[in-house]
Amino acid sequence: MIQHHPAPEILAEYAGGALHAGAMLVVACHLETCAVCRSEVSLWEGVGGALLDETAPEILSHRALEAMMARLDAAEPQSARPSMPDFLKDFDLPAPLKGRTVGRRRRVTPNIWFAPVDVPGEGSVRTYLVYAGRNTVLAEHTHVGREFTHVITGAFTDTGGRYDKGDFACTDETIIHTPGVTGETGCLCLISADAPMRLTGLPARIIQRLTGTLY
Amino acid sequence: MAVWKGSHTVTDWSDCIVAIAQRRDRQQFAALFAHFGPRLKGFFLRRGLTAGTAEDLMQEALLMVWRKADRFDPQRAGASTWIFAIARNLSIDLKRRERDPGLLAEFYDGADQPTPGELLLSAERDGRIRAALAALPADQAEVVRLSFFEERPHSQIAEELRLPLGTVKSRVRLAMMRLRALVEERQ
Ligand SMILES: [Zn+2]
Repeated sequence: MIQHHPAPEILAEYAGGALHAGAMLVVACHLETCAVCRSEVSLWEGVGGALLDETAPEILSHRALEAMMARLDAAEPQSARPSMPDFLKDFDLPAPLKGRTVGRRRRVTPNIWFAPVDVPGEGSVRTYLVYAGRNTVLAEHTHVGREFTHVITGAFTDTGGRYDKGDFACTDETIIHTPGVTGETGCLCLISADAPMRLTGLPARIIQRLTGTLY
Repeated sequence: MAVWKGSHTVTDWSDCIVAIAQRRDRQQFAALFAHFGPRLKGFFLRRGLTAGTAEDLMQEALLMVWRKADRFDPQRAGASTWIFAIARNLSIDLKRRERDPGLLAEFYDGADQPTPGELLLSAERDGRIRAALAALPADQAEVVRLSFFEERPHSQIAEELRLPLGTVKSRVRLAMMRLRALVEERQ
């Protein structure tokens, strides 16, 4: 049972295409599992459709129709879907993630790893998978801008409560947190952040200075 | 305030896409192009794209309509709503393909399955959305238009209108509640 949903204005931004591609991806994963939010988004898409109909028509270039009709018979190219790396084979991944390229896994501790997800992006945006084993806690950190999280498997607990499979979390620079994995299994999440996280605890800050920016 | 009516009704364009799917009807497609082509170009221009790119994306969007017409389900979405979602996805996808021109435009699908218990036919629902939009107070209509049409995040809209972010967010929320109430209202 999904407990945490994107705020209404996030769903409106999604429907209007106003989020960056990484954030769009995280919300799309939530929508796959959540009928309540899908209905909200479809209402907003209806608004988009109505606005499209009302847009003042722009004059098209000379022979635009001819050019269009000439393309109809061309064979439809097949898009090659990237294959998922082996370390994700045992996870039940959300469909919107399946067309994406996932990069190499980097372990930060024996129990925690990160893997980048390739989305078209504005410079500072970071979109990645993070896996944390049972009973692990992420270093205390905060964010610049917003960070969206979709729980793919397992559960974690944070300032906002407990987040299970299918739940959506949004944090921003007003929140300093140390999310921890609860439950019997590890937790895999898809995250997209406007900018890299900033570690806030002293030991972590030292590590960050030594290793450079992580995610 | 715009008038939310065109020469065709919402249902006509849905039938048109169904005819394209069933019969590969080029004449119907040409009619669809005549209506949506110039509007899609306007849509992409308002998102800050150049005239050339706007026209390319317009063609790509309508080519997708031609190719994926069999995936259009008139029970699920009205024609303009479906085409709007295709156009929105293309403009987001554009950056990925600019970086890697070999990539094909993704056709996103499946995120908008009908909700159980949703009784309204989508054409009727779209008609109600239009009526509801026309009835929206001007300040709410403005934030809706900016976020849908110009792809601006709420933070940027707040800056432009010189309003606190909270005000923009609450206007969006109010607009949403009002739209939902009007759309779900029993006749
Ligand atoms: Zn939801």
